[in-house]
Amino acid sequence: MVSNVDKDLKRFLDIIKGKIRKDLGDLIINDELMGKKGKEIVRIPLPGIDIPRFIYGQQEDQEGLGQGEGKEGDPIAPGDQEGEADGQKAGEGAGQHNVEVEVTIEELAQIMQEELELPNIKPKGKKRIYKEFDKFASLRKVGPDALLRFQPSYLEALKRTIASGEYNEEDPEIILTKEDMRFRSWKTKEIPESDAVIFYIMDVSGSMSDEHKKIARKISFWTDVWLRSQYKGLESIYLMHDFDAYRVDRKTFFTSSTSGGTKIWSGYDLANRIINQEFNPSEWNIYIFQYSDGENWGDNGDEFNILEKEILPKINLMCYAQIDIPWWQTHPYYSRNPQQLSLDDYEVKGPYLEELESFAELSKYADKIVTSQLLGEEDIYPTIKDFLGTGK
Amino acid sequence: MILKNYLTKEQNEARKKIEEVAKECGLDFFKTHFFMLDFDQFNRVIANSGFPVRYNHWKFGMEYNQLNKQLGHGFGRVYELVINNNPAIAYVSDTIVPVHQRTIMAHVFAHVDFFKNNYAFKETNKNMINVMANHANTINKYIKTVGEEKVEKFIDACLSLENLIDSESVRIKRRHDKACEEEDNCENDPNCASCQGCSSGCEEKDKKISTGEEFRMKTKYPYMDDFINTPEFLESQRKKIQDEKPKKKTNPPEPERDVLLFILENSEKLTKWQKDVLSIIRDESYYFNPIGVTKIMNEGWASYWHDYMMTEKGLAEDDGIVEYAISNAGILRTNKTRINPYQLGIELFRDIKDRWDKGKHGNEYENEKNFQRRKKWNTQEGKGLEKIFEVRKTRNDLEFIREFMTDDFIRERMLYTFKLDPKDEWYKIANKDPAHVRNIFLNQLTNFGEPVIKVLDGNYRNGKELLLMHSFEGRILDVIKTRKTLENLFTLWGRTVYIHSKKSNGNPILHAFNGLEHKTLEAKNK
Repeated sequence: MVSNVDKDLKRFLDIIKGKIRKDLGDLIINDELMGKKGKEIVRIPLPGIDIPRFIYGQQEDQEGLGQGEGKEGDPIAPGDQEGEADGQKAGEGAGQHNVEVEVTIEELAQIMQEELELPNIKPKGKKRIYKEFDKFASLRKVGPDALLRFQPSYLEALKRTIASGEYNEEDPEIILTKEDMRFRSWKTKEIPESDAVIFYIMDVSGSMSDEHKKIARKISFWTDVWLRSQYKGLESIYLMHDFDAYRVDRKTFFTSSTSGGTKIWSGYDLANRIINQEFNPSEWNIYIFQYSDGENWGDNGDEFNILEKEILPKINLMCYAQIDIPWWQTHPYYSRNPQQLSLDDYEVKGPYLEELESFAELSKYADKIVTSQLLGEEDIYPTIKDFLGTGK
Repeated sequence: MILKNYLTKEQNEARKKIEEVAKECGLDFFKTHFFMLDFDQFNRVIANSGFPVRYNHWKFGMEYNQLNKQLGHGFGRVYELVINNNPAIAYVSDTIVPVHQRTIMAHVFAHVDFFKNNYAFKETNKNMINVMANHANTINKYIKTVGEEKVEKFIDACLSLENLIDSESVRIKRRHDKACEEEDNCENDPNCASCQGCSSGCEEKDKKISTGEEFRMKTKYPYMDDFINTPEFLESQRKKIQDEKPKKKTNPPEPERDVLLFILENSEKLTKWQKDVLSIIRDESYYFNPIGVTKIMNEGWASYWHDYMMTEKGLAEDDGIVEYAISNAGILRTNKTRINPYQLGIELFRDIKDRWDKGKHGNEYENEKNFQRRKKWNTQEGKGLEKIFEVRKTRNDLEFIREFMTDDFIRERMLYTFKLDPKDEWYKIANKDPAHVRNIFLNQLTNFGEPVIKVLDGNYRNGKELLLMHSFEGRILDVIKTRKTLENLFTLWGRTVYIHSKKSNGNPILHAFNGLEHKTLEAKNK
């Protein structure tokens, strides 16, 4: 019944999806969204979806109406209850505020998939991981008393009594014997499940500015969204390195910086140790996302040794994002007069990207390495497509 | 569409019994059909405001989506929905136990009584189910011929302005004025109500002008009158008015509350299908308007009677009375930061009944200042029941609150106003003075707490531009929403649109949109 609502609902959801899709490029670099991470549902503000009207603006000293005990000046409610000051209207105030659409991470990932034409990830070929769990599903004749089920047991006893002709309708008396007893029994079920771990490795040496980190943060949010939609259990490991590598929490990862030098090997080494200790490569799908400005100290090729021998065989994919924001872009003079720069200064490219690319050409695991160079926020969108378009 | 969810045998018997009891109580209602709906069906019906067939628009889908989220998570409880129609259609959620179903049926009968008898509903169409279906047909026809996207965009624009009707008018105005002006024989037409009202009003005004009454300055002290209103002054004022009069031939002649009607009649941009769609939106807006202006009364009335029937008349029955009491307490609970319309409405009706039973009204009672004597006041008048029936017939919320929410009532029910204290970000009780509380409440109720907006000039700057005016009463317009709404207004008008308002410091401000860009002008003082 009320058939038009289905059509209306579909239209409404189409509008939302259309808006999200249209703004996906902007959404991806929207700072506000970043703060909403961790919840299952992200709320996307869609200012255009409601029907605007002539309404009053919010006024701070607006009075509302309430009812209850108390004298003037008594506090009645904390101020974060939005819209309560509208008093009576607040109760039915749906649609009064800016529409925030609640989208689950999965829906968002789906929209992203459609828009970026991302392939579904193929689970790691040889091993599938099964999670086991027990479920009471059947009955059997032996078991502990605690699992005795009275109803089926007495039903058996009744059957036996009737069959043996001992049953007396006037005075039904049923005695439970050992072979009548039925106990709950469980079956172990195996559920296929893939688990994934992402290593975020970031260079935090002095040359990485806040701008660099912002970009790193945004890419990692979206890779997170995508991989979460593909794997049930997703763990994130945050590593930062200058000359040495440290394992840190998410917040530290995106906020702190040091001023030391840069040795990329140290990050790889720590990641490798953690993989060996905690994540059996046959059970885990392992991803490495590395953010750097391309500076690297060390010339003996240690980085590539450890990649080729230790890391690449164990992982699904390694994505390297080199954020090359030229120094002059924030310079007060040259940012306005880039023509004054020499060609060398104009294009800045850290050396590591080239080194890694030439290494990848020779490597056995060339298809596990994806690289990308970002010159600013506008490159985030294509980078995500590059990283996740491999379907690994 | 076929509604299948009829009542079961037991439910139908309960309905018959409740109907009888309701009639015993003196309620006078249309025949009422009940439908039991499951959770999903119920949400669909609410999303459509109760109408089985409505035009297609995403806002209904949005509503449905939100309802599914809210109710699905156990927030808010909606049990019933009644349509003001003859026969009335009532939807009841089937997720509740029989005693609640009985409560709701009793509640519904009182709602229908209200629809049938309250004056605000007098002019509403009692065959709205069919009207809505016809609206749907018309719009769907246009969707096919004109194109879905075009129609949807236009409906969006109309809905953005749907509240710009004359919400104080009892009935939808079908304009005759224009015809009258041209033919000038409206006095002969007894059906031309609006026209009559205008001409008699004008005559009175003319008389006042000729005697000088219109602009005589008021003074408390009669002996001052001769000094203030000197013959010279009166003469100069009279001249001024007469000079102005021929100049002032604007359209509309007086500021027009029914903005949608003005656009329908005067916009040069609207095509036939657009006019049809706009008048459909306007019709529906007028249909829903009385429900808005009587919400507290209507809910109070229905709650008063369901409570009376369930308890005094024993409809709750022995097995259900506890369950009933629990749920009723939930429905009628007070809230520290909100007014519960059910609770306030029922308390007011009870208070009125009590006062008119005991004769606690009139001058003699009002002038009695002794608290004890006031409390024990009882003249055995016994007219309570009669009074509440009269009130339900002749008042709307504004009048109801203004007249019957007495100082004593506000004090006893501990109503207050509250404000946000910016120091510690807590809402605190601001004022308990009954006059102030009542005032704030009346402000909230006036025009549903939305700004009052009128058409001032349909030929602004002599270029057929549209000038609206917000009657400023201390609260400023939301600038972002105002601009977006102006864009929609432009869609309907086709030339530059303006709205005149004021800034928080009282200085005039003029928002304008010319189809390309927004402008905000500091207007000359009006």
